[in-house]
Amino acid sequence: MKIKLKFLILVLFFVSTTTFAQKFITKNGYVRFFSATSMENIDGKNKQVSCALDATTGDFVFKLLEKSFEFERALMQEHFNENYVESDKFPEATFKGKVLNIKDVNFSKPGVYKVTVEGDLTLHGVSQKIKTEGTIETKGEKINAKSKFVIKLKDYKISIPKAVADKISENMEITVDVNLDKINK
Amino acid sequence: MKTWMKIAIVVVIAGILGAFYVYKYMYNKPHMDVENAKADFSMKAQDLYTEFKNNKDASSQKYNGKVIEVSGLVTKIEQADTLTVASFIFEQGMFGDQGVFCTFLPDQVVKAKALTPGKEIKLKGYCTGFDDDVKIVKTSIVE
Repeated sequence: MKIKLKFLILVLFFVSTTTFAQKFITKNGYVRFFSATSMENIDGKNKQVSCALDATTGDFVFKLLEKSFEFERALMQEHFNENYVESDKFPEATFKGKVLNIKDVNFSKPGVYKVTVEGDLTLHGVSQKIKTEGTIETKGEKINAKSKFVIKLKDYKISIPKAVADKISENMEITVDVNLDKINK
Repeated sequence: MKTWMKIAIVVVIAGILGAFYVYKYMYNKPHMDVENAKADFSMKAQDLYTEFKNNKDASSQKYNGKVIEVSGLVTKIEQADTLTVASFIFEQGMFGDQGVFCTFLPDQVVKAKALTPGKEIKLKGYCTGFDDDVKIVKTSIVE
């Protein structure tokens, strides 16, 4: 009897750890970089954002390549890469952090959960703390995460060319929308 | 017609043409035609991945923003939301499969979906860099 019980506990232990070690990933997340200006809108879209989320700890990582941003006009894309983010010097941007209230998200019950995330956003070679709100929608083997927040260009040492400085906003709105798939590890 | 008037008309026309030129070819200059561009590099997908992995900074300087032809045995052809992606996968990492990921140009999607995983193929596209994977966009099928 005792041996059976020990065995049962052991089994339960493994079952619980495997079910809890859930990880969600994608390589095709979406991030938009948007700024409304009096001249025209700066609007870049990146559909190749990598993202990983550990559903147990709430740790997450976003990675993207600046050159993967697409703009309607080639000239704007060029300006974005050469003058703004200097993608030759700083090809990547990352956002690493934690979903603070990951315990509130029930991954086994489909629904939309409000989350607060905090982490370091590294852009143009400069890291800054970001704390923002978002949602995680759970739907079985897949989840969707969304967030929208505003960053100030000068916080990341991105300087706006003087000629257009009065026409371009200091603020950039970042929209994140990623569909993640569950992987078993 | 007086001479100064002729000159004025010529100047105005030249101005309009100039403005049109700036608008068409600078302000609205077309995106790079990757499909018809000459490749800067042609190599095995495995070699490109290994080179980036071993020396990210030097490889970024060398390959980012360049047109590259990659060849090898394609692992997967997938539809990821609106994008069709061909991948050459070499190992597993934090984001799962790692390797060279190529997203196709819209006019290549039909042909891309007909590709068979495991077959030798050659693709051409614009390298945007390395974030644990080598990312290639605006891909077309060479053979």
